[in-house]
Amino acid sequence: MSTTERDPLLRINKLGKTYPAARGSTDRVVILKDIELDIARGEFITVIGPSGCGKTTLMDCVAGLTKYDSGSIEIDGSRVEGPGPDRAVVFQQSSLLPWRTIERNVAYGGEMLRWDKTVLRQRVQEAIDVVGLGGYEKHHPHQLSGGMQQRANLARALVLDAPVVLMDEPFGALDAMTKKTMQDELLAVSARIGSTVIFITHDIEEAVYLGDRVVLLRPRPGEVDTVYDVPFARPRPRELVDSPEFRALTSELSHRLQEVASRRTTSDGGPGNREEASIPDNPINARIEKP
Amino acid sequence: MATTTTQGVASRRRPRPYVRVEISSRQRLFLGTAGVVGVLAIWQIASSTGILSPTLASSPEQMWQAAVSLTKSGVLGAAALSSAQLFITGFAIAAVAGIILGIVLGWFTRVAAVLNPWVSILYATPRIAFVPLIIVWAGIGFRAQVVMVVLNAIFPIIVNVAAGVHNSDRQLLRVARSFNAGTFDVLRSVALPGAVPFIITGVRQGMMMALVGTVVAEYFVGNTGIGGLIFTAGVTLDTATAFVGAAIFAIAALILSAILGATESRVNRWRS
Repeated sequence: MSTTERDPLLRINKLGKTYPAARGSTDRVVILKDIELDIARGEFITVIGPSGCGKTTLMDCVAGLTKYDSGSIEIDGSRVEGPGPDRAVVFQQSSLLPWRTIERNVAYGGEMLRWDKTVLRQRVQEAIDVVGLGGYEKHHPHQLSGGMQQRANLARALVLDAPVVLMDEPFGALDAMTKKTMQDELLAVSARIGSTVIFITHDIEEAVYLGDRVVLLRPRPGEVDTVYDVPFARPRPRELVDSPEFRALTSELSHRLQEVASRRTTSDGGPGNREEASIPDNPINARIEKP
Repeated sequence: MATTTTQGVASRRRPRPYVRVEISSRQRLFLGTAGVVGVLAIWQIASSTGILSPTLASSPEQMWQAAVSLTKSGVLGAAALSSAQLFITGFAIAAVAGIILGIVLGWFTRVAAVLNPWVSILYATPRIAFVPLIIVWAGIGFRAQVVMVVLNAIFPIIVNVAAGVHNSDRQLLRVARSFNAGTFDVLRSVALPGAVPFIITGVRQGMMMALVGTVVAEYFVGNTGIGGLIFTAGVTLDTATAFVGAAIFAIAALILSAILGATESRVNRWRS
């Protein structure tokens, strides 16, 4: 049973986005086509797909950093037209302002929203403690390791307490050990705060471990290929990763991902829970739509 | 005659392999001091023995005597003060106006498109070419001299500041937008701090150009200050005084450079 019928917080409805094919050209490349996704409050959605499937563009559209060409994105009923306090973004590069201390970096979002200084200071301290950077408030980013910088990046987003948190491969540049630690911390934090998360990743195991549902996108044009339910109960122990059910799901995903990456169009039957898999009737290749 | 080697090709002896010479800082200090002292000594000896004409080439001893007498009579002090006033006034105006204009040009693309050709033209022109026009428009008083200094100093500042603001880190701008920063928020919190190294480079170049402008102004736009002192000394063949003046400018340049260098490293701490 899908939770989305109960309480969809975020509705993506026939979302489309195109870019000009080349400088000055009137041809357009379709990056995203007819993306449909309903996400419930508190749901953790992971998005995977091969390069060029538009994952980052999708996130940019939801974040309000890019205008989309067709369809709509609604959060709690209101249309997304630009950035807003209801969405927080965690980019892949930690992108902290190098001339600010960790404290002042984490405070950035609240500063831009003109929050009361006392309230902000408290929220910043909480966020720093939650990600385990207590004691490093006065440090500068260059004094911290990559993993710690990424934690600060996460803290910066958490301060906003935004209903929707968007994360674009935030752990992609970390080593395996730090990655696992950060994944578990993220699960703990988002469970506690109850945020709705859209998490983009290349790592299938990460996608299944973290997500309530996994959205697989196929490229050229970017479309939703399959949405997989991840049936494992929370909280999830790290050992889950070795269980046969987990392995079955990751291998199904892996198989499908490979198919989609090499542009084959057949969907195969297999174990695991799946919602509608759409089968396109045209071969998947770059579609140039003339105006 | 060339000899044949076992390789069958005629060759001379192989050159010694290149090894970079490394010396300790102590050796460096010693050699450096020796160089300065040596040149001064040779100069003094050449002057005293008449190899170099004492009138034309002067000597360290004469320089010293001139410096002492000028200081005692208060002439050197007054001239230095006058030059300092001119330099500081001109540089301050150039710095403030230059930074503001640089930010405007770096941030507002359309304004930059309109003004950049003019900036390029004026930056490329040797400002000394404008001296006669400045005299026509502003006379030869303090105000005209300040104009000269400002004209000289402002362009490197504008150009560097604009470059710094314009070339802000794209990813940081994206982050700022995602956190709901408005246009002026982005300018204030991301573009300007990021441009600081460029601003400092510009200000440092501007400072050196302001010094040049001061000398030029004091030569050609009213004979005041140390520049005027040098000019008059040259005309009267008082080479000792002329050297003293030049040395004062050299010392000033070194001090300014050192101060700015220290500021630069403090500001760039977080870059390491």
